[in-house]
Amino acid sequence: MKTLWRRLLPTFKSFPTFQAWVIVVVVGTGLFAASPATASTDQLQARLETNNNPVRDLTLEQLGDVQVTTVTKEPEEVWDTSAAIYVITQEDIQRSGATSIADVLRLAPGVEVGRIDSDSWAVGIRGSESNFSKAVLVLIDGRSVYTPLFAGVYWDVQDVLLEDIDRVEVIRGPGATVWGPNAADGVINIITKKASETQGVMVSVLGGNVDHMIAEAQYGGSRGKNFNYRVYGKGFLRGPEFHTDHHNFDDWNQARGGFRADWNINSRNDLTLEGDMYGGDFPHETGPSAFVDSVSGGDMLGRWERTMENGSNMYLQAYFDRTIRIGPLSGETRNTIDIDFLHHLKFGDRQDVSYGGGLRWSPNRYIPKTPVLDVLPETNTDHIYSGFLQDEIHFADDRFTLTLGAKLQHNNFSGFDVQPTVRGLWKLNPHQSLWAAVTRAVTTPSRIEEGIQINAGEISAAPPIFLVVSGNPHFQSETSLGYEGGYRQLLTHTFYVDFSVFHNGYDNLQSFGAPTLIGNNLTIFYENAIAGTTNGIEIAPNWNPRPWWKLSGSYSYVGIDLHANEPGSDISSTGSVNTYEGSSPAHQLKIQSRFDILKRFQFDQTYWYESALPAQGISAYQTMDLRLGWNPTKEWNVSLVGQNLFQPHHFEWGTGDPTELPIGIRRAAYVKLTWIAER
Amino acid sequence: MNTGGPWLHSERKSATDSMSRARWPSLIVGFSWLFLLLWFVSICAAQRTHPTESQVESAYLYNFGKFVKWPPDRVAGTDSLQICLLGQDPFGVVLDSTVAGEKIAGRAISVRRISAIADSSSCSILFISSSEETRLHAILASAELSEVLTVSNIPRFVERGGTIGFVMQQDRIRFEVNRAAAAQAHLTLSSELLKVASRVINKPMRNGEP
Repeated sequence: MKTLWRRLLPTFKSFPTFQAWVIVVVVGTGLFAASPATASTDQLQARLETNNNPVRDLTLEQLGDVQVTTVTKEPEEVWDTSAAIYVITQEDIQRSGATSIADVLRLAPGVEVGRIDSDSWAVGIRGSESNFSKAVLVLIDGRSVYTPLFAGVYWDVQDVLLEDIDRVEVIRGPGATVWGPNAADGVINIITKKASETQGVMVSVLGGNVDHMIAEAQYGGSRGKNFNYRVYGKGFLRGPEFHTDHHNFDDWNQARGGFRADWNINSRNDLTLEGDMYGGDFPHETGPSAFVDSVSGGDMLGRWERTMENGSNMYLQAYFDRTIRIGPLSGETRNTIDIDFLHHLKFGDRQDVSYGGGLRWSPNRYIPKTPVLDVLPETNTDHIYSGFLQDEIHFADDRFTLTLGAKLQHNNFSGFDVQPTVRGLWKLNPHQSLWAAVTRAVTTPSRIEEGIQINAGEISAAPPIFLVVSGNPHFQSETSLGYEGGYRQLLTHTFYVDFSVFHNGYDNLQSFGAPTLIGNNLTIFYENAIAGTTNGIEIAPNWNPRPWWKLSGSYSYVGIDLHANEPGSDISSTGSVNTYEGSSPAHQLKIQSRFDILKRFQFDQTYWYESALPAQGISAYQTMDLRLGWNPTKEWNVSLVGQNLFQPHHFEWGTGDPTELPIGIRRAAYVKLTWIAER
Repeated sequence: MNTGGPWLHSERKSATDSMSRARWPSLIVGFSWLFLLLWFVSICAAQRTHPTESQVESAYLYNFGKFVKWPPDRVAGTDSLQICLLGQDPFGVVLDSTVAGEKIAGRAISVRRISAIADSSSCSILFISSSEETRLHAILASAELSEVLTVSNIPRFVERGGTIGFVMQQDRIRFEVNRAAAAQAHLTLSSELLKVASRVINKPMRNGEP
């Protein structure tokens, strides 16, 4: 593979030559795009000059073929949301060339994504980047995928057919009231298409130098008009990233299959049932930091939605999720059962009241594989019970909206927490809105913070003294109080800009206490002794200069200023002031540009810059992805994608271990063939 | 493999060595590359003009009148075909200039802007602006709508009980049709209209239900 790659693209070896090569391609494409317009466009041009409406006399059929100048349109809900929301659409995903959910999230402003190695990612929002992806709630079709073991997300097993994603709504900032627990810094809501939108057959095969193979197949069918379903299968083999010591341990493979069925019982009631199963292997994960070598699991979700008169509606949802992870150092099995209910009703003309609740039980077992590491008690049942009430009050002909809400939740680790929010939205006109919010949010403790036992070994022989890192049964919820505001405007009919600013105050962040001698054990406890603030801005413009050219991007800044309330909390890769402060990029710049060329071709570029992560030993980097798409017929699509093109490899995240070098994320290329036969 | 592991390791000693190496040359090259790209593209982009959404949608509204049959008692006694706009006007003068002086089946076409559904009794075609989305259910359920062709670009308009909904597909404006909604309004749609529609559904809207 490597030799073929080199022979095909010899200039890739040196960066400046490579740039020249890219410029030639871009300029070439530009000339191509600017080449004389087709006859019908010429006719249009002539009419533009003679008639007020050049297309008036076209037939219905011709009208459907006229390419129009599109107004940059954010989904309607964005204008009505008093939070920093960003929507990643299916088109954004497809044209980014990303091959995993975590990489898709890079497209959103203010979201920090660092690929640690081939199979793990660190994800954060507004300064919370950590390899635990803590304090960010991730939902896939309403199913929460965070694990109470470490209050984070196993990104390696969160997968769907990326073609099936309808949109990913990313909410930056505390979204705790309506959304579930763990949403202190943000919410990532992945919503898949309805089964009625994926009718027919889809087959796709991808091959490349890092993503060796990704194969997908899906069939969508129906029984009558009101019952639609789809079944899918997916498998991949991903290669290792770059290892300075050539110990390529992080290749992995996974297979999954699942279904979704939507039954439109009548115009008032809808029923959705979906499920997935997966299994995967990390064949070469070895050594002192290998925590997993096989994963498996599955989930099943049912949701009933009912719409009532005067716009009231409700839903009832239940799911079961099973996760099994076994590795040389540890294992975890977990079954989660969750029931959620929400009722939204109109209260007179002016008020939208919502209330609801959720119950979650999660019996789980930690499987120790080495005397060095354990989580106590090994068998536990985690639970979260929550209820919320929210009132949205509309004033002055819907131009002002005031939202008051509060969530009360109880969990087995820290008891009761209250999370209130006040939000205001002012729609100055249909193309301009202003919002502000104050929210208190909590991150619930995890099993690790409460019960981990690390027996780090003997540090003195006589008298024998052992170093122990221990969880703390009295560990409390981490709290935050967030102030944020934003402004959106459609400046011209092709230019949209979204601006937001925030100030978050944190307290009770996880730290490590001063070593205490208990018997022969010098023990370091988990504590809640870090506090401080984060401040930042995000600007996300979106510009469609031409119907065939779209530009979007964002700049975001976050400044983190934390301090320990107690001395001696500076010993680990998490839980120290330095680590919190130095693990999120202060500056991020992302630019995505897309060309449609002569109907059948697409040429897309994604550029991003991330500033340094001192605590991870990572320098600033910038890189670019390019994608060339071709639709030779309606059914076929061919994509040629180059990723991380600016350097042979770059580093995005540290290992947290001074004896191990960071893993380089390699320059990659792949070809993808997709065949879709819609019904 | 790092996930789940970092609490084992003590912190990386110092990162300053690798950090201090300036990366400016590569940054500058990267940015100038980008600006060159943007500049170049904006030049070659400045050469083509396309009609706007409003122009195409206005043309559709004008054309729909040719492919829809209203009940005879509706047509009798009126010499004009009224296109009404409910809510915020997205067309401006474009719609007016599109239909100015035009006739369909001998009836002159006029444009009227209305602020309440109750004013729609003399309309033949009713365009519902996206500003009315929150009130869509009530609007479509209104008895005033009998024998009116409802058109909108509100998402999923036809599923929600409208007759013709505009949809954007690859920068082209196409339309969907709900035959049941047309039937309920006592309108006859020509087969040509149905043939050209990008999707035809048949979902009746029962009284009082969205």
